[in-house]
Amino acid sequence: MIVNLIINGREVRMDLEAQTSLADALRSYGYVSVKKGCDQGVCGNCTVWVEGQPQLSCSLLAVRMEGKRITTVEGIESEASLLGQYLAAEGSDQCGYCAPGFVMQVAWIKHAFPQGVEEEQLSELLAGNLCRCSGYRGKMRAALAYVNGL
Amino acid sequence: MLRCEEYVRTEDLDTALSLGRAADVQYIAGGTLSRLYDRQCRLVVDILPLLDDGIKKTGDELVLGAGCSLRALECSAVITQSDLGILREAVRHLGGVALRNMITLGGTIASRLGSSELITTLVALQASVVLHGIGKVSLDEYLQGGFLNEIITELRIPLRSRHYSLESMRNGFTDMSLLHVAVVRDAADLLIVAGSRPGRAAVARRASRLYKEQPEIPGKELVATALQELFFGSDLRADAWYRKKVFPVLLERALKEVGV
Repeated sequence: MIVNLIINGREVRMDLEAQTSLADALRSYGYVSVKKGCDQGVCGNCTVWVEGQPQLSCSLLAVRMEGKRITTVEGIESEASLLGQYLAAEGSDQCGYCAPGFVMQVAWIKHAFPQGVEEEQLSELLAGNLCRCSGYRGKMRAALAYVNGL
Repeated sequence: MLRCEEYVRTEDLDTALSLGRAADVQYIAGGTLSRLYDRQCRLVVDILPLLDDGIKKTGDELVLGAGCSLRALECSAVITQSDLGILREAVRHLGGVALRNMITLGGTIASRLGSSELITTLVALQASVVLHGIGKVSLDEYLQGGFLNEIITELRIPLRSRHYSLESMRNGFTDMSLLHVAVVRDAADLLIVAGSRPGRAAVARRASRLYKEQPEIPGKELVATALQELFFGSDLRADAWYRKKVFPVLLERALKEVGV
């Protein structure tokens, strides 16, 4: 099936099987920031924006995304780079595999809550992004500082 | 995961319905269950673009479109203003924001998942579904079986003054509950509904009848009656024995919260 997506502002035409997930489609077309952790919609590693809202690309059929605007980490380079500095300052990453999904979620939070967030609220907003390595504390400190513009 | 050969979007619900009633065809709305369960079908019919996603008050009912996401439900000012904060409580533990952006109200109800705190809560609130081409059916009746290939277009919740409580037991903040109880009390009735038994939401009807006959009955007697009439089983999350121990505690807390 042919499907036309707008990925990071660029129109992309894909020829896909009906059952191909958006995560697989994006990765096969070079957007390898999109990671598959659980491939079941649980871990948040595959988070992308669909029409500006975070969604789990492993659980979306790519053929359903006709005409939709998809954003990956490659599409928010400057924001991701700045957030990356906050994460590095806290030493919060180990393997880094969950980082792209985490970055997409935190960047969305900053857009959605321009007034900033409290720690407890941030914790709930990040509850869908799992990390096996870090123990979360450094990530939380970095995200809180980034979202609140500190 | 979902394996399919073809994907189609139809122009209208009538066409979707006629396709959906054939063998080997699956509707898809939010589609989040596509990774959790192994399913194979020939054709997937995408009904999400055909579903309303609004939330509005009309007279004495709250009307929710079946295409409404659980995240929209969670953040809805209309729901807050309707004094139905229990709906927010019923969905906020489900995964994360990204997942709740995808899960739809109609898809959740059609899945008839036993672990769904939202379904249990909606049964306790005496909600009804509206099925395309059929009309309004109580959610309790819908869950009994039948209506398998029908399309839910709306959910309706009667608005009245009532007290409610949802008590859950889960292993982690974002995990599905291993048992939960919703209790709703209004001027006339008390409804006790248990889910994640692991089976689907079930109403403790004898306990509810007992309360109606004797409104001053002690909560402990209602708990004992409900425990006797509901079935609890074992699955990956918990043993039947454990559920039977936890249920009275959750129900007692819920009853206290609604003033019984």
